[in-house]
Amino acid sequence: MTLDILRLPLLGSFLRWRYSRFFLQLPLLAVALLAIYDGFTGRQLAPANTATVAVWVHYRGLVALALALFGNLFCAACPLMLTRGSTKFLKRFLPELEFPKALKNKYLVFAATLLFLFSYEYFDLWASPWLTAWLMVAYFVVALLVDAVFPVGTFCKYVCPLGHFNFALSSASPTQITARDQNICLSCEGKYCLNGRLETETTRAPILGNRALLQLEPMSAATGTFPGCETNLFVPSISSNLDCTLCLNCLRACPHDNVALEIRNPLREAILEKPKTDWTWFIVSLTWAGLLNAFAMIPPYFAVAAWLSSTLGTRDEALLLGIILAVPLSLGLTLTNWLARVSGGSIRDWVGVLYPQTLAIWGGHYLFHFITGAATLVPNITTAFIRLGLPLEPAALAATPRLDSIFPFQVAISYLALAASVFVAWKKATKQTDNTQEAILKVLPQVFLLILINILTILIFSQPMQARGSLLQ
Amino acid sequence: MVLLLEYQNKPLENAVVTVRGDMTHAGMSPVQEIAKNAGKGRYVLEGFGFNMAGDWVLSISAKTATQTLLGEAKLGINP
Repeated sequence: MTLDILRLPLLGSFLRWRYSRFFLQLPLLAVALLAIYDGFTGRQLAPANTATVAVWVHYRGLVALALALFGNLFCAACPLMLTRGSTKFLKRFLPELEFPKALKNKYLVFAATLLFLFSYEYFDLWASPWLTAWLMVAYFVVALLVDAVFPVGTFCKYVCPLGHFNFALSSASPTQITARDQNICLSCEGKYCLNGRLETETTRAPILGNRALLQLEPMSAATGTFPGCETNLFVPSISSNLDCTLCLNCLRACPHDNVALEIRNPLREAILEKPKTDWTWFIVSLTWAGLLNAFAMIPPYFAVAAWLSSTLGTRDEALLLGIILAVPLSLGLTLTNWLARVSGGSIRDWVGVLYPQTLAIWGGHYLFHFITGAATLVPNITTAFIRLGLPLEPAALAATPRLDSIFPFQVAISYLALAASVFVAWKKATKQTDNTQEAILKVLPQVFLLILINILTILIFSQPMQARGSLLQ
Repeated sequence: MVLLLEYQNKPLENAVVTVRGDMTHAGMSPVQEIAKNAGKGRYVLEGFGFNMAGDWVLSISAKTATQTLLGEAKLGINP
């Protein structure tokens, strides 16, 4: 039996409301605009500026929480998609091009994500309100231009690193879009969830695809224009959260009211799905990059940089950082790939075991900053409002918890994820063979990998933090 | 930690001095303390806990009877 969130009282009614997405986007747009203003004109101290605090502390912390507890809410509430009106306007003057076939995969966004992770460390984005504001402006502009020149939804499906980070971590989320009744979809004449729906009081037609017009009896569903899925997902064939921005276009486009947002086992996707090669490498990289991103905030990172600098005789930070990031990442990818082969399969067969731990690594790291930096948002926003002329009093800084009080939670999350990952590995092994002894042999290399990742995660989280603006002292 | 505060080349006397310490990285716990006036422009921070190594910025606010002065100091804390 499917528990459908869209059928719940209040929450379901809200999500089914035509303007629910817009309602969720508005607060994020307001925060984004304030952050851009403060980033360009406010005090250039990261913890005292709305741009850096909102983006690198609160946004990331809330993203991790939302993904773990609900699903891809932050793609649903993404204010970048409010550029749709401007996109439509620009499309009148620009030729619509087909997105290059060679780029219709996840390798472009894979490269963009790696470039972002390098830039994050190299340019100290976390310490610069000004650069953070520019990053936000650039994001709005790129989203607008990509979707103006290419079909709408191209940005979300092939370009956006933030969205793909959310897609990857939502693989362990407890919700997913699905069809309530597959039979209804089989007989659906217009595939409206995919193609969109144009409905008058007497006719119905898909916006895209086979545009056969259907004559209707008076009023069977709401009239109007309802766009379909911008990332080309067909609801009855959805089996994962990949590419789903939870925009709920499918829900509104379906005239049969056959779309559900089901509560699912968060490990189901990890156990059952075998992702494509490009997406597999993206997720494996994200796992190891999560460890590296956290590693860059503890003393051994700076010790390694100093050792490397003296060994190679260079103080070129780009080179040193490139080596520090590329070597462990390559080793991690190689090890994961090799252990998948030892387990008797390809890396695509086993990547699911990483889903819970990837969420735990990033979530544990973001949780730390979210809790320790939580108190800084209100004073910063208040200061920005005061500079905008609002008659407010400066807000006092609330007390923050002791840093070491967060570590037990990080450990608990890590072990919970380890247990979940080992369970996934066992389920995958027993799917491949009925022989228990063979299954144990298949699962052992994966357990070794998962324990290694768990040890590294806890070792990193247990270290005292050290944040420096430069790699070398 | 002792702060020696001057204003217009003279020791800043009888001010209420509040010091907030932030790391350059957003998302770290700020530290805040009211300094004890030790006279002759010296203000003592007795329990100011630099809770992490790394780059810190001290934001100093000194309230006198007539005005509030603001200052900033950058320092690095080694592990």
